[in-house]
Amino acid sequence: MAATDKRATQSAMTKQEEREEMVRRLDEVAEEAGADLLPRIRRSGVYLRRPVPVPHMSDGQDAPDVQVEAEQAAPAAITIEELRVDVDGLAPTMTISGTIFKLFVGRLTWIARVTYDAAAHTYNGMITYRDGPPSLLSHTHISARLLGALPGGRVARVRFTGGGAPPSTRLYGYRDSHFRTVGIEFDCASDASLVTSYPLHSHPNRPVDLPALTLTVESAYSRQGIRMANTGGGDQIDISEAMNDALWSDLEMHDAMQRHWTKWADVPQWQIWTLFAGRHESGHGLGGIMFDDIGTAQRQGCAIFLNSFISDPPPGDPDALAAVQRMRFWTALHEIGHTFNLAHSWQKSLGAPFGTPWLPSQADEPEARSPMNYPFVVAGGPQAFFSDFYYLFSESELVFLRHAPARFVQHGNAPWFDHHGFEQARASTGGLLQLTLRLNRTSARYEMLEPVTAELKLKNVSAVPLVVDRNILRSDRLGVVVRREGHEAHQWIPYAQTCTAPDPHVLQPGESLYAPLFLSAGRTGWLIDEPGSYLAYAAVRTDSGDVLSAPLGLRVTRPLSREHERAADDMFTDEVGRVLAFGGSRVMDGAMDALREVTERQPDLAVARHAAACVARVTAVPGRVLEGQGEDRRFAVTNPQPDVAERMLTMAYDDMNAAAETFGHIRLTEEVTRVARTLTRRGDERLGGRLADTLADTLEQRAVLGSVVSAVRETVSRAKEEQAEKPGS
Amino acid sequence: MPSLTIALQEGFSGERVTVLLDGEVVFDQAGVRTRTQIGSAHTFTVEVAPGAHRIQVRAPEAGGPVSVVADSSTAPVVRVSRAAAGLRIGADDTPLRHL
Repeated sequence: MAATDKRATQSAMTKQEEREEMVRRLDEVAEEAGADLLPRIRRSGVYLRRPVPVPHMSDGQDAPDVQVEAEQAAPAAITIEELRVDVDGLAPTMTISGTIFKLFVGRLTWIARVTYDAAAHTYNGMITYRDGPPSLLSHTHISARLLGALPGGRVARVRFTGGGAPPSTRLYGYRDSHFRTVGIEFDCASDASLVTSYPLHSHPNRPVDLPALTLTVESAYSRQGIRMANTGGGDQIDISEAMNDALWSDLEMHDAMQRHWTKWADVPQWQIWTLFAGRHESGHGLGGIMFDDIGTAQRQGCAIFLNSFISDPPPGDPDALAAVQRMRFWTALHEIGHTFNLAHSWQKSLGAPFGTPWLPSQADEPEARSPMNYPFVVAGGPQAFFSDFYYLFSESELVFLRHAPARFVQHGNAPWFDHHGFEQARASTGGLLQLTLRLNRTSARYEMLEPVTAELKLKNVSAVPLVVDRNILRSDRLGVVVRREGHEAHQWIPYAQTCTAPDPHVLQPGESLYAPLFLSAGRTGWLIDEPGSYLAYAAVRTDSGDVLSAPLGLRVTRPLSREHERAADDMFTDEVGRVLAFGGSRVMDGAMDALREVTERQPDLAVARHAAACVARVTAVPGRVLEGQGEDRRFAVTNPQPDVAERMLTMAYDDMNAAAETFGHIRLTEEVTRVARTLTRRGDERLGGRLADTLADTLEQRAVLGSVVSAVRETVSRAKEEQAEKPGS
Repeated sequence: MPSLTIALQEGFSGERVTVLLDGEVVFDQAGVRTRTQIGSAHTFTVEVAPGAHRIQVRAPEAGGPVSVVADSSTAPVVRVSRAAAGLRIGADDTPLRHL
């Protein structure tokens, strides 16, 4: 190995990885010695697959796995793999599941029920459930070993076997102690009060070993593995919103939800609205309801009615007040459970036409001590129920909450690869690097035909230096998706992909890499053309993990005139897309003619600046064009057209601020400095210098990094130096 | 005046349901559907004379009719559900409670 390669490899091993490696080995020593050298820690939770090679283990478990290296070496397509380990902690279900999200393939959820092999220190089981494209995982069995003792050093090493596929071992790093994270807002009608907590020992009828805690709704769900955060709001809703009868109908509650819920959106989201109200219009017999079966995104709202039977003191109860408070709190847990798509305990096996059990073998649980069972329907009634109730869901319900495909559980529910789908994948990444897809302009509204050039920023948000390839944002490790509202998402593939030697670059904490992104069109066609709203996402595969950007939203406005609209026929072609992406062409005459026509007929449109920049670039300086066929092939020199170039440069860049708005900072800087350098080398220092100075002033005003502004100001002097150093000059 | 509360509860998925009180139709509706989140499809109350009354429920798509004798003083709540084996009916004095 060359010395430089060694240095790069050593740099790539971050302190974090070194620490994890150390912990792993320490843990193995402890296990092999059969001694509890380290305190036992909870290992259940969510893990994320790491794109690093699995260290060699001496247990012989995966010695022949040559595929390990190949898989961890990372294919170009973006893949996010999540592992959910549920084997210890409170109410473990002995389940390990996973989600594999692969850009442009889909999302697969698999579930295995496992048993512990104490001799091998592994959790083993068969994959009994799959939802999603089978191609994402063909193995049938897993064997998981959980290693590491420190919170930051916990890892899961999972060996996948069977299914006719070569064995594969994958390494996952611990990410989260909870399986889902949900926001909740509690609002209260003026004729009710909030009941969001309950001291578990307030009533004497309880399990003897029930902990002496005061549970809140949030902490009760946290015990199930669902992190629940109060998102605020807390409106008091005037009873007049229930109209004159002061009784709530489902429609009135839905209206109130839209009006008062700060997170209201008719889209899938991990958010819940809970209303505490007086009474439902159906009367005293309805204690609560998940009323939100209206609209496209359902199960977002529920209500608890305090002026109903749940507030009736149980006859003969030794502590009726506590019993009422317990029943109200239980009802809140119950209704919120419905928003997670949990059915009543006696409805688990219900099939068509009511729906389909998510697992075919779902059995009813009429005696379950669960928030989803009615205390008054079990044998022995509420007395028997609460004497054995631990404020936990049943095992099958916990498996559903923790492991079922997210779309079954999430409030609202959605088909794959909508906004939610990608967002969820993004939310499950995170860590060392942050990818931003942005526009450097005051408004995200684009004129029709105006090319969209976004900017990518990859920032080291960790506390340690990271090694990334300097060209990663221009490489095939970048994935981009564009989706027009109401239409399918499409992959953006650049017209040209660079193939460069690895160029390791140490990105210090807080430092960033940048690149422009011509988003309008690519090899898959024009992605941003028609008027409407668009969302774009970017993802990049790095050696530190896959990183996904937040969505970039933009809007294309309607054409300003009939002529503007007609120009679309000539502009939205593959050739024009290529010319705009590359900034000009000396051979694509048809496309260049279309652009010249735009500059002449519609010079006030933003697209005219782009067209003029393309024409200027090929007319300002001489160029070479490969002509002829076979042995007659030769390069022909094209002559500059200074008059045309000056006119086009004026149109493109006379208002440099407007140019910055439409080209974006990075692309504008690249284009203008390229032209300025070439003009200077050709002897037109006046025009080259003027362009560079104007650009530098504009970038400075727009608060661009000082180092970039300085480099632009030196464009002409550096071009002159380079020219002077050329042999024969 | 005494009354009977008749509750159509679990298992209805759009059937036509007819309820007869002492042979007289007191409810006849198509499209009866259970809201599974509360386990209730439709509830109504009929006034009756003191004493026992025969309630018959017909839902041809759910099999044969079922009936029960209910006394408003001892069993004023009549519960009807549809299960795999057909209609089920019963009467008791426990108030209706749904969540």
